[in-house]
Amino acid sequence: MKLYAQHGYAKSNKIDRAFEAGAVDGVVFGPNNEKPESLRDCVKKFAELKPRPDILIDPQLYVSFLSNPKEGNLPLYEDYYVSELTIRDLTPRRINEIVRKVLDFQNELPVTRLVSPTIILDSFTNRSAQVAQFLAQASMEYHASLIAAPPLLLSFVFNENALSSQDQVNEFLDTVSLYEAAGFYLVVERPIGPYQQIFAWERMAGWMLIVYSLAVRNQFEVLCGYTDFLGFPASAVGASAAATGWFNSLRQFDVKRFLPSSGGRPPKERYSSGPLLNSIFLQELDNCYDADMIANVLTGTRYDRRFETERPTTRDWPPDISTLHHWATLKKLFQVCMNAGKNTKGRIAVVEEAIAGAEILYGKLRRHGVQFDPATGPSHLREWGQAITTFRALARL
Amino acid sequence: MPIDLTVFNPQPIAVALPGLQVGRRLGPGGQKAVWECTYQGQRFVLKVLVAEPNSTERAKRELAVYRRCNSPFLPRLGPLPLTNISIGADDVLYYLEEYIEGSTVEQIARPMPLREVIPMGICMTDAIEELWKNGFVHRDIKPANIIRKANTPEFILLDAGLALDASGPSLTQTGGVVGTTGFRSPDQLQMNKRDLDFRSDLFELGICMYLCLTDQHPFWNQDLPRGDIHHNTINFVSPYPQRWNTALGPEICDLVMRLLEKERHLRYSKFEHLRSDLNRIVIP
Repeated sequence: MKLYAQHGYAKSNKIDRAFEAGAVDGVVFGPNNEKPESLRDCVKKFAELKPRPDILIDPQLYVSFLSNPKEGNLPLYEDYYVSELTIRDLTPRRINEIVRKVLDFQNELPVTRLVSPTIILDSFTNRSAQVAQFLAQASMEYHASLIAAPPLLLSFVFNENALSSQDQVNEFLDTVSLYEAAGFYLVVERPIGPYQQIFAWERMAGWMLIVYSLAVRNQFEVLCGYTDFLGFPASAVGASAAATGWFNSLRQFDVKRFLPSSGGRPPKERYSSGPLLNSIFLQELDNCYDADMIANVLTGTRYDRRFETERPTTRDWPPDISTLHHWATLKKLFQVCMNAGKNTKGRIAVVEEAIAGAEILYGKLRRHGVQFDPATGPSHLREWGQAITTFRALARL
Repeated sequence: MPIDLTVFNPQPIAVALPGLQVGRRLGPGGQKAVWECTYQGQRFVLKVLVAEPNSTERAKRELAVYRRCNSPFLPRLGPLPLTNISIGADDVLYYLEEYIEGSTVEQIARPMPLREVIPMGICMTDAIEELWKNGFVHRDIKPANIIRKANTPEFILLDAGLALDASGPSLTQTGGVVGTTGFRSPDQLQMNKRDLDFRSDLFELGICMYLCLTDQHPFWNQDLPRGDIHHNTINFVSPYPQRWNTALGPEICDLVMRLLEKERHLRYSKFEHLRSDLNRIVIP
């Protein structure tokens, strides 16, 4: 299971440092936050690294379909990007043209996978699902005509509401499991709201079934974009890679960052705790320290040693280190899964143990007087646990 | 009174077709009667059916299937087209097909050894793949339609008369469920048949393999309610095959259970994956 950096705004040298530190195995570029020339340079530069990282570009065509979107640099990608598209614009001829331009643009660069264009799939029963499948099918057809092109990943962005209907998820899988491609790049659109790990159990179960069916049963390569801590259960159900970025808005996917900004304040400092399966506020880590419980909460990466003996807020915790630590935490969790072997049941059991361990730890912390914000508390664990139980039943595991 | 094929004498066909010598009857009749025969010095089977609209269309479909497909695990057509002959006031149709010496899987004692069931699985996978490559879903895979070729490890899939041409016109009315009771997939029982794909045939192969390995039907056994086999097929998970045959290893049991998954995407979507799993099973 690989971990990729999900590229976004304020890249500076974050990805370079991540590769140097071995924190990530690849990168998924988002063109809206990079000018075309700069993106081309970055791709070429990273392609020369040894060992060569995996390099992908999410074409982000879905942004064009949002109402009055903040497109960033996307309109500069004249090779393929078209602003203000509507579903009605997507005639078969237009779909073929878009697909050709999107894949040609990527194919001219030393990327390791081509990523098909898609739109956000609101529901499996409406026109967006049809169009997303047309785009995928047109991409397969065009890719088949390319000579020596990198393997193709078919991208789908699901609004999480769509994942609630098991019947519709099954029908979708019946169709896409027959597709001829190397794999899938899957993203879940979360509702706009505070950054947190909660994912309603029935939707999460549907998402796990999609990853499991495609990755394990049908042996596709499955890259889960913007997964954050959900990369951990994704690794249990067969995902080959997960991507997550440095800012909260790059760790999970919602459309807020593509909508006009009303301003805001810098996010509070956070700490990603493997044992809690959550990213908590640094102030809360202070409370764990004061309760003499910090050793239980720390992930144990090379970056969080500084908190072992001193109150966390008294130590320097710059965003770049916090990001490297976040990635290291996720990698450590993925490794726990991988250590359980190739058997999905065994890996799922490891995730369940980790959830149970986190619940116990939250309980202990509460008894020691440590309070958590609703967004950093244990509420996600119950949903995850229920989702896994449901998933097991759906997958007959 | 229409012709009764169970007592039909094919002599008029032999008269009409110089060089045809009809031998023993192989199939009992009903909708289709079958005889061993030789034609121009070669062995074939003679298949005869009453010329009614439905059976004629099905015979045409079967011939179209075999004409389009080319697999050592599907029968080959003989040198005659589908031919009509009047017998009294009635018409019958006949054609020749490859003669395959052997026993149907229904006639073989069960449980069958793994060393026979694995080759059967591999041959059927190839046959189903060839059908699907040509746009067909067989829809009637059952032990009576699989023949083990004498003195070879090969199995042939017979009787494509109910095959669905996924791209062509339907032969049965919308909503009609075809196939044989106990050997239908949940997709066949529940779905609009135009949506069927080869994974329905893989489910039926799963039923056959389960039956051969355990001598128990996966959806009609003492562990499941004895109400309605269709209901069981749709709603119940079969007991793990080891429940009936403790000598079976987990690899073959998992493979069969996967073929019997209710959801198509959880079965096999690539033939090479199924073939590879079959080939990986160690035969003791």
